[in-house]
Amino acid sequence: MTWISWEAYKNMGGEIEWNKEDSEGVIILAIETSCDETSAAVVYNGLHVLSNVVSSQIELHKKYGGVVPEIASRKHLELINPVISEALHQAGMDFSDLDAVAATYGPGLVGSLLVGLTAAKTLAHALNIPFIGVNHIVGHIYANFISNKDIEAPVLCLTVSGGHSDLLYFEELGSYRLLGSTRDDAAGEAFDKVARVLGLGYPGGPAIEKISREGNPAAIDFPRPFIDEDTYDFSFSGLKTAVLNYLNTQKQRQAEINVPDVAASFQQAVIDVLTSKVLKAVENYPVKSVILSGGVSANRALKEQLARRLEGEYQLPLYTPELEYCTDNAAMIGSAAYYKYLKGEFSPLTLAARANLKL
Amino acid sequence: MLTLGIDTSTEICALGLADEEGILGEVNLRLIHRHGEELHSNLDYLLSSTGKRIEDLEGLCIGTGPGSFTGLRIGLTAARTLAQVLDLPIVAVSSLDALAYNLSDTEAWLLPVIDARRERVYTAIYKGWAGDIQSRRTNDPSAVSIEDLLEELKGLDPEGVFYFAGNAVHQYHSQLADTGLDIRLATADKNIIRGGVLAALGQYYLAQGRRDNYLEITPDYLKKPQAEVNWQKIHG
Repeated sequence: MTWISWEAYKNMGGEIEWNKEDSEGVIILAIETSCDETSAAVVYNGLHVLSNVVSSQIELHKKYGGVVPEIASRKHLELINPVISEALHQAGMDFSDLDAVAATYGPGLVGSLLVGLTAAKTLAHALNIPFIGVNHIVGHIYANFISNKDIEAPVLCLTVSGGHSDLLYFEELGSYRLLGSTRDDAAGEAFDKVARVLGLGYPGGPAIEKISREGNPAAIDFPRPFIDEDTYDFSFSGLKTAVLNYLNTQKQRQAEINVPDVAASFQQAVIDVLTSKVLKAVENYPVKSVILSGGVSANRALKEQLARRLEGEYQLPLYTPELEYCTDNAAMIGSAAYYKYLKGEFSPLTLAARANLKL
Repeated sequence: MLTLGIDTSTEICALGLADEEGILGEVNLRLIHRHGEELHSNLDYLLSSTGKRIEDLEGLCIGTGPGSFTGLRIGLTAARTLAQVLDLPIVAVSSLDALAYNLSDTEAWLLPVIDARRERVYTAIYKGWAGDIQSRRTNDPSAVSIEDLLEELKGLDPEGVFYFAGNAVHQYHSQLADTGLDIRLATADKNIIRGGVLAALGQYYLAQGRRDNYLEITPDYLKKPQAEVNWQKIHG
């Protein structure tokens, strides 16, 4: 256990009661390399981010229209050690101040995951402190607790990104139950694919959202898969195919394709499906707060429509993480790791990277 | 100078410890896609069974390939991070050097060959008796087909003795048999990259005062990512 430095205290903006005599504080260095961001963070007592360094490779992958795993892995190796140094430096910490080291071990690209995971295990081994493997999806959920420290349990959480779409119920912050998840493509994956066929580039989420503002969301009636079914599961593969079929048909007819209309109608179909499942859960569980997380939670249209219905019809607050914590970052991994640390849930150094890790 | 050697360029996860008096111990395990899982527990085993602690380490030596991209990144991440957290001097050596070292007490041409997939091998040609193994390397490591390599050797020294070692020896056994060249194949003990060799090489270079910057140590990929190659084909 350690004291934290004055620089670190200032980084926290004085937002917490901090006592220099307090030796109970837990300081975790967290690492996240599951896709195309190399990130390291120092997190104090789970919710207080002393530093959160994210080195994005987005520019490197842009010209390929998506993340190239081999390029991402190579870049992670080059960046991982400087990013760790920078995270410690910004937090005003040395390696000797750390109580544990955490890393994402899945889901994600195996070659990318292995770099951050190996670095974290090596640090834990060399420093003789606990190592904690964290599920990336769980990290995205804990990002909300960093951003909104007044969230009240029970919590319903919709987490949607390029790799997953899940609906979870938290009776308390330490433990959750999975209500439903996607049966095929993740929502963010559908955004990326539709953006590509519309020639909107990568990453697809922001591109579609931007052009949708100029389009009519009711222009084309795309299917809303599973919307009426008695399940909390999602499916987006059929919707993606419907968009492709629509585009092909228009081309064959030599009819004009209104890209903003297609984008807006597709986005609306995704929003409708996601919203309907959230509302269904709210009807059936004693929810006090609702969280929207994952990369897709940066989508303003989704956020606004969901918030309007939850607040209007159920008087429930919708929480979303600050933009900094919507995209992949290590601070959220450090937060999730803290709750495992408190329960003594440490991982062995033999922990394997798992591309398809589920909740 | 207690030196830890690491090589994860092939299916062998190789760890070794050496000091001024020689090799203290080594662990060489054939693991398929499990280097990341086994590296730390075996390092722990190697240290504890030689009566050392991780903070006793005084130097590092890492094999930088060529070889498996993912495997290399595991070993290099571990080595770079150890250099960072323990503030240790580090040297990088070619994994082909480490393999050729197994054969170094002969005057024959030495051909370490590591499987590069797609019918190719990673190799370099070594010759000479004196000097350390790196100075005996006559060309840069490359990925070549076994046929092209054999043609090159015929032009180089038709009467010479060529000593092959590495994981590709077994794979290309038949092609190496009827070449008209005097080819000798290494025995099983010399076909793997050994952690003890990495540690001994590291101890030797570090004692000479050589230091590499851990932040600049990257794998010898010898090849751009396929996506980049394809993109350049289209866009020039």
